[in-house]
Amino acid sequence: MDTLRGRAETLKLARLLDVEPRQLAFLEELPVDDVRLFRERVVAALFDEDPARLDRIAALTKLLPATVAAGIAQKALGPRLAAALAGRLEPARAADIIDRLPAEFTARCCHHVDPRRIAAIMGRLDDDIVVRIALVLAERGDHLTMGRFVGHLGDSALKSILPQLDETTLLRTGFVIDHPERLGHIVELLDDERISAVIAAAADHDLWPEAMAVASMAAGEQRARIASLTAAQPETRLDSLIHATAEQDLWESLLPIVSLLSESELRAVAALPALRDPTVLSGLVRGVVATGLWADFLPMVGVLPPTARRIVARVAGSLDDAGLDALARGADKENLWELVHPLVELMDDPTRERLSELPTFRARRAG
Amino acid sequence: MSAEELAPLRAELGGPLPDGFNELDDPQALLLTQALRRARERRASGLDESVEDALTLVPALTREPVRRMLFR
Repeated sequence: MDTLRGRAETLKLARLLDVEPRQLAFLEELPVDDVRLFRERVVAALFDEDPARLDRIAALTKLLPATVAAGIAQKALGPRLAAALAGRLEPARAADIIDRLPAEFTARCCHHVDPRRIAAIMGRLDDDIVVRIALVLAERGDHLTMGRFVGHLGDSALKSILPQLDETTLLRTGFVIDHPERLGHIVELLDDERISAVIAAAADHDLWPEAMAVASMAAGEQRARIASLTAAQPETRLDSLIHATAEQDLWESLLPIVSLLSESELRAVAALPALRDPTVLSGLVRGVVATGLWADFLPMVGVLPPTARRIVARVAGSLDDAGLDALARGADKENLWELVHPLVELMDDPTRERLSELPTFRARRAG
Repeated sequence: MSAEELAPLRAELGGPLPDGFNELDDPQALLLTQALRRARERRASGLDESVEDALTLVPALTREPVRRMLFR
């Protein structure tokens, strides 16, 4: 999950600094919370500069009726200055003026608004204007700005907006949402049919990473619902999910979602053609070694077809001692020995001997 | 990178860097420093331009006093 959060954070920072995201790809290697913290400090560096000048202009607007101020904002100030002033006004006053502006103009301002002021302003806007702004942003493909706002929307606005957004917009916006703790609730507002359509769009538009990030950010119950609805997708779509995961090494994001499936759903996933591909399985095992997600992975191994299970056993057997010991420690910690033994039985004799000499296996024998 | 080498980025940010940023190499820190500097300059000049545009709507005779009042 951190890989995808890192990508989203990099996109947000690149937008803030107005640089190409690929220029900042190196930030994906840093701890994601550090990148988020850096982005918050960049916001302060950009928006806290020279507040006195803006405050003087903002003070003048207090002397004007909101209708007049809205007219001046649109005709004289332009989106950049209007947005800067909105960040310095009392939120209620800013909302009063925004209510009188065309949605098209406000949407152009949104990108320039101090992100820290959004919550207070959004809470005071009528649903009608919020819906119109969201639709303009969607039409402009401005998912990053939508991601800043969507976490602050109330249910009534969300219920109006969500049916009007296409599935790829939902995925791209969810991926960069600034308040991921709200995502579970937003998913709850979508019925099964809509979520299935969103999942289908992920397959059809190469948006599996966005879909996995959304599922990971959703709260437990909604995440399990997304997992089940994904497992019910046709085989070709699920195969594309596995291939996308393998190509981008996103097992750390996918496995915790797969682990939420029922046994029958898990069997359906385990039978996918993509999970018979030795390259995919090899990457999967190495991904598990790197992330320590044995508890998420081993139940799936138990239901893999025999050929695939033998490949997993061979790849696991080719791990160095540290990798094998990590497997054993993972199994020990989560009490998963029942799932490890069938795998060990598929390994060749030299590997089994090597395993038996590892500290965790020795300790288990001694215990 | 050492704290000294990260000083320009810290100065541009106007505050401390998160710990993970100590892992940046020279070109990466330089890229971020320049990108942030340019973003700040763009924002400041964009606001200046917007203000100048807005002032064109003020009658010419009163434009300078208004400018001084707002941007002294």
